[in-house]
Amino acid sequence: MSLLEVRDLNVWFSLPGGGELHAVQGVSFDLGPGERFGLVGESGCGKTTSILAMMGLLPPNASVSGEVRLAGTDILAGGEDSVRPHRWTDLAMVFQGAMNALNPVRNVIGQIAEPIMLHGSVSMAAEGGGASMAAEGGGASMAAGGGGAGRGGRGSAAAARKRAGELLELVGIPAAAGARFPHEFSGGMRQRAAIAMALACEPKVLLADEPTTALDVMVQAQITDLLVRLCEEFGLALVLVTHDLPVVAQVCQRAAVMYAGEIVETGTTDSLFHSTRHPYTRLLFAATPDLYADDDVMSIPGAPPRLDEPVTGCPFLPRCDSVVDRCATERPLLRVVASANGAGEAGEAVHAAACHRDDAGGTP
Amino acid sequence: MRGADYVIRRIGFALLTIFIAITINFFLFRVLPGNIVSDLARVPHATPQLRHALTVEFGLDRPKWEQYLIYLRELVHGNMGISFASQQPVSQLLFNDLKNTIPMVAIGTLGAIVVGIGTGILSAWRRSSASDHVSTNLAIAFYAFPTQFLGLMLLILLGGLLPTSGMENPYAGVFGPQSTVARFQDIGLHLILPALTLLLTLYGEFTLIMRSSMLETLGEDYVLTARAKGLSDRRIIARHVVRNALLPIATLVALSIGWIVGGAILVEYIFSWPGIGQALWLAINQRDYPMLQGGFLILAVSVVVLNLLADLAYFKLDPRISE
Repeated sequence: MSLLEVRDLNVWFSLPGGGELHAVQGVSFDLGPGERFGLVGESGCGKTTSILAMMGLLPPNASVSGEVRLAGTDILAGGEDSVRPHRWTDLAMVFQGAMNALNPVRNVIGQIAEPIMLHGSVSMAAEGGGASMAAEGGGASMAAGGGGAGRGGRGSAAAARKRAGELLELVGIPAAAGARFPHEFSGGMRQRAAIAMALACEPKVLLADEPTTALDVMVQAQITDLLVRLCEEFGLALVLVTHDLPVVAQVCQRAAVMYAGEIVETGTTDSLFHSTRHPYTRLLFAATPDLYADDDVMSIPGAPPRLDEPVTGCPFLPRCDSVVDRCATERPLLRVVASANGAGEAGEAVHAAACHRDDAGGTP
Repeated sequence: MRGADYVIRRIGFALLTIFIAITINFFLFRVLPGNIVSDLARVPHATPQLRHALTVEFGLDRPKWEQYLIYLRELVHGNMGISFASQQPVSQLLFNDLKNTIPMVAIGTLGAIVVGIGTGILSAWRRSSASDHVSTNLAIAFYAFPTQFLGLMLLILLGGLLPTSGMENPYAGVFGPQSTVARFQDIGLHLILPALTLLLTLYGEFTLIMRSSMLETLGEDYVLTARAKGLSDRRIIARHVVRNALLPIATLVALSIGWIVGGAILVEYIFSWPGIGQALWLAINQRDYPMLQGGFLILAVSVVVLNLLADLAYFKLDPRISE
């Protein structure tokens, strides 16, 4: 069974002047334990909104439908009360631009220790021979942290701070630096600290929203490496939201491409990169600079459709370079185009795309 | 230690400001038209000889720079001169006035700060609720009322229930000695109306600024982080919003507290509160320069000192401020 199942997630924002904006339209995906999944798309396509909706963090003017099942239970079913216990303990988040994700008037270590004091930590609770996630994951440093830390699940302030210090060390920041304030950290350090904070309660799933945006390339590479290493070490599942295709290729096993609020193509990273089915995905790749190729970087002309008006036909139609007759009248649905084991059933390795061209059998 | 430098530099700057204020204060009164002697000259039968004698007695015949040096020297010794009007030492008169002013204005101002910040927090927390609308509109209304109007309205509305004039019942103690407790009770009753007037005129500004500051802070990414961490709303407000939202308020608080010492001339006048505001108003009418000069000095010093305290509080609240 999948660890996390997102089923038919829809988000509407009610607009101040009346009317609604359908920001996320029927997004579904599965995530297995320890799996790394990418959500890709241009700005405003609903990727951040999707993961905020999964944690119930959207502002009051948003309404959400659909299910987010964690180990079989729909955590959104009971509103705020049912989702809050899962925040940070099961689903943790690394925010876009960690510059502002840390409170500027509190020191870093206190902010990492805060959720530990609130929720406790698996390692701390399991002290004395429980099956801690860290021990299972074989993470030497984390298991050591669990051994030395607190007395119970809800540790004392001192134990929580000690644990927070260990987490900082884990992401490559000296524990002593935790006493400093966010503005005294560089961008990369802040992003590391944000990752350490996300690990505080040993979640099962990490939602990372553009974790490498606004960092220079060297630091980007360090952060992506760190994320992959931590996921592997602790068996963390990762949902990586980004507009950066190379990062997805480096980090994720599977990915979904979003356009205008819906998933237009999904599959293993390999199949997405090498047997691209949807014109948007293809154009998106063409718009990524390639170090070794002579071709110019292409841009996709036009802009995504307005989401506060109903769209007939394919939302990508005005910008598409391979239109067929049906595109104007009928909205393409996500269909399985190939699967690893040859079967058409929904499974881990399914490659699906929402394009009429595929029905015709042609390769776009 | 972080910012020992900062503190020393701030204090030095404050001292310099005070010195400049003293100097301007001194020369301000020397360039104003008229002096005590010309005022006395309106007294019938004042002869030129009398005027001259008075001029000499008050040292007004000496050059300005000499007067300035004498003034500085005496000031260092705590001597603010003799009131032209009452012939008593200014420092003693002002001290008595301050003693009356500070409790009343402090209660009014601190009350306004507490009520304003409290209602601002609640308003922002329950944004767009009925209580937010009521609180915000009340704050705007009270902020818009002129002090004198609000004071007079309170005087008319509550005048039957509470004493409206002075600080103590002048007849208390006439029929036998009054106990200390009874005396404080009497003063407390007299204090309610002027302090309430002050509170109501001042609190609205705090409500509005605190509310908007809170709303701005609530939109920050770190508040979203706090929610994602599973913190309850109450905890988010207490730990991640209020302190950050207080930063813009610190300056406003300091400026308001600066006026505690300066008194509230209008309020003291309406309720005949024998404080420094009244004393200054009286001194203006009597062209009592030493008194005015002393009053202005105390005002300037208190504003500078409290601004210094605000700077230091700001420094403590916001770790981003460094040397």
